[in-house]
Amino acid sequence: MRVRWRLVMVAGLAVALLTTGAVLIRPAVPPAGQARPGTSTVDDLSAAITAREARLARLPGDWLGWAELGMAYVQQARVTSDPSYYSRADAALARSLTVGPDANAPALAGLGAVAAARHEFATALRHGQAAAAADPYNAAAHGVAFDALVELGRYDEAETAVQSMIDLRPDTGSYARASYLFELRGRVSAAREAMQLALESASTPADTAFARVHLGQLAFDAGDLTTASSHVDEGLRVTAADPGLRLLRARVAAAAGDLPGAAIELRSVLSRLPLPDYAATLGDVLAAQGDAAGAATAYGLVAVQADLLAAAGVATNLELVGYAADRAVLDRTPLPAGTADKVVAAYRARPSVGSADTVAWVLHAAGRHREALSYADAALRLGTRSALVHFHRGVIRLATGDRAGARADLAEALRINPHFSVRYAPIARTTLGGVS
Amino acid sequence: MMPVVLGLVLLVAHPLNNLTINQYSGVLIGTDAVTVDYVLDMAEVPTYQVRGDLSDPRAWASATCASVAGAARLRIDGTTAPLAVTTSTVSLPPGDAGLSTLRLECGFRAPATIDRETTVSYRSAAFADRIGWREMTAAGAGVAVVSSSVPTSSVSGRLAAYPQDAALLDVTEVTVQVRPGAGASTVDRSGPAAAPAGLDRLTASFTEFVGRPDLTLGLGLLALALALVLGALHAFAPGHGKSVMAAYLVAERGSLRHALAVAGTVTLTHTAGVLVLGIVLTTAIRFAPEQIYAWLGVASGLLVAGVGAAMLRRARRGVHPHGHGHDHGHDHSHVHGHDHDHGHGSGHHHHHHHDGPGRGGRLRSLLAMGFAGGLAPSPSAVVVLLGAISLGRTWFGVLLVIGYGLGMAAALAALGAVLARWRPVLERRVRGRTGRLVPFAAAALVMVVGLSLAVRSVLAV
Repeated sequence: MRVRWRLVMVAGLAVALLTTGAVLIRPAVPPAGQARPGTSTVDDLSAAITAREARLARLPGDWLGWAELGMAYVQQARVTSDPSYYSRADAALARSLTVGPDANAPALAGLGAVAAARHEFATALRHGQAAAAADPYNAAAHGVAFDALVELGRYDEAETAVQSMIDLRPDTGSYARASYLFELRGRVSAAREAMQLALESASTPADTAFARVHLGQLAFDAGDLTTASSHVDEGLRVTAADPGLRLLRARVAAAAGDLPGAAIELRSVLSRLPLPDYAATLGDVLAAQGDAAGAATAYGLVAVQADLLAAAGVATNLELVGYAADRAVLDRTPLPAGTADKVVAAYRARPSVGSADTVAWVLHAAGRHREALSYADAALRLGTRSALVHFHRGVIRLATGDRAGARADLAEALRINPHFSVRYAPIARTTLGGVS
Repeated sequence: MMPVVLGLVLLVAHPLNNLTINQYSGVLIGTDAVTVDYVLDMAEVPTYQVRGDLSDPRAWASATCASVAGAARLRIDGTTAPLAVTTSTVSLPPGDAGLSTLRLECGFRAPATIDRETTVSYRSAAFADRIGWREMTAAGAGVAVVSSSVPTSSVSGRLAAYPQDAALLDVTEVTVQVRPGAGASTVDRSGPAAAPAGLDRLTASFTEFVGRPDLTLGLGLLALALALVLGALHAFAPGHGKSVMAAYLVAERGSLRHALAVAGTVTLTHTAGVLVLGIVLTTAIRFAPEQIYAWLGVASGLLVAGVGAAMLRRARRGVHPHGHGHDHGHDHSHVHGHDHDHGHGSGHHHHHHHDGPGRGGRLRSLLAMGFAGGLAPSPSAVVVLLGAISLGRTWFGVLLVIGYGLGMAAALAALGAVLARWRPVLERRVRGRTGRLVPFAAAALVMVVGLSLAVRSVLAV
């Protein structure tokens, strides 16, 4: 009997070990090899993400930790342009709300940021306002509400939101938002000052690069290539590879007449980050150089991304449609059927001045000039000092037969920034000569 | 367009992976060369970007492989070894929106002689500034891996299926410590030609099975059956105390029941051992499993040697107590045999050979034997378990390990049954002096094998 009993003991121990093993070895533990230090070229952000993930594996009830992880994923999505981080952010933020308290402002603000990233601005506003209601002292909540309000065309409410944000946390994020609102309202020098404050409160190289890009862009939009160039140089001294700074450097070079230099710079940026904005700019530069085939390839990269978005079932993307309208106007590439109607529908969900400008240009490209004009007027309703928007309205006014209005807008465009586009600026000049 | 602040320019909602350039490098260290299995998986947008250069795909493939090899750096004990491109193939699998994606596979090779403990490091700088999955693995073929900074098998199946919800891998560097001789990946090749190559291939396909993205019930059952077969083969593979067990059963007149007890203990110990090692390997950040294997080997060997010593003592006592053992003409004294309850039921009714001195000692040795046999976990079972865990299929992995153990048990029990059946026949033939020496010889053999196992493992530590 003793023998049997011992056998039972051995068997029991083995079963206990088996069970422990099965319970302990869960996939929730990050598999070996994925979080090992010293084997990867992780930057600070992903290192922080790794640390947070490890901490949350130990403390899964840390609701603030989950919210912070979600926000870090949103940051990572912006930095890497990899949208897969948004679903991860969603999951982490939802987890935070599950384990967290009722008034979980950080998680709500995070959900708002993810919604904004997905261009779901009404949802973003709802989350942002819920976050601000849960914790009126949470600056990020006001920031999320501001971003949504701007895209929804509710500028006065946006002003209140950004003021709350600056009062709570005067940093790069809040000053930059204030700068953007000033810029939309045509108060260029106030925009510049606010962005200068954003630069002075920058705490990371990424913040510095961000502020330099926008200071440089503000200077460029006012036709001041020298100042724009110095901001770019200062910024590149901090972050040599920042694609935003390099894009602006290429734009400045092209405006100054160095088209080959601009093309080299843009090709180099594109080989790293093939975003539509960069590809369209390269297309413009190559077309201005007379390289039609090269331009077609570059513009094709924009079209490819639009096709992929359409195939993925993503709703009309106003930025990409704007590029398609440029192709229709400049290169006589017909717009896909139904584009104009889709754009008008998209505007209803995102009635900002920027959207109005895109809708106007698409309707013009589709030959619907009368409708286009009302959107062009809406695009300038805040008094924005934008050469391109004035150029758009001038061309549309001319198409509707308003020669005097066209002359005023085209002259204004060239006055604001004579270098506003390597392709449109020369057209603005010839057209203006024709209508004068 | 208007300048858009707050990084909104980056917020265009690209579908997953349309922009990515993904890379995998599998470093394989052999006795005379280091080879790299490099795979490049380009999503639709980057494929569009290179499409102008693809008019001659073969030329593009060999040129790109050459530039990837040029941007990589292989160091063997600190000395840079230039990589030669051995193969290059490119294909254009269809992607979304009627666009193509691109898959490039390159083989790199650098001669290397691994005749002492060597540090091999590999770093890839190709497409370093592109967004994408960067994965590396490292394994040894004919050399033992002492430590490695990366896993041995690919979690993405060489970029065939990216794990859902896993953090984006960004591994561009690997450092591996190797030494000549058998290691985790070579254990099954060290013996005679019986199992080696086939067993390895089986293990490989087994691991692949577990990694299949479309695991169905049928495939799962097939994998389980394969686990049983692998376990059985493993039981017959050299170096796992099967010969020792045979010797033990012969010497101690083991019956089928004894064989079953040993087989069961082996299975339980082995399964538990694999699971414990699995826990350690998944929770510890950096860990050298080879060390564990070696120490377990030492423990196992010493245990076997101890059992051998106990057998020797019993054999001596079994012969000497009456002083007239030499004249018996029969190899076994009945005087000590009171344990008729042992050894029945196994079919050899005509020859009631009784157990040696006391059931307690016998059973202890028996269980110790099984314990020793199962103590050193089979690396292939550990690999399968870890693979399943990394794919989020822990339960499946545990099931497979249990299946593996059951396969081992079945093989060992079958071996035991054969021995139990044939021992009486054997004994009838071997009588007299020679017959009496059998238990001594068997005990000595068990001790020698145990000690050699321990020594071999000590050398590997």
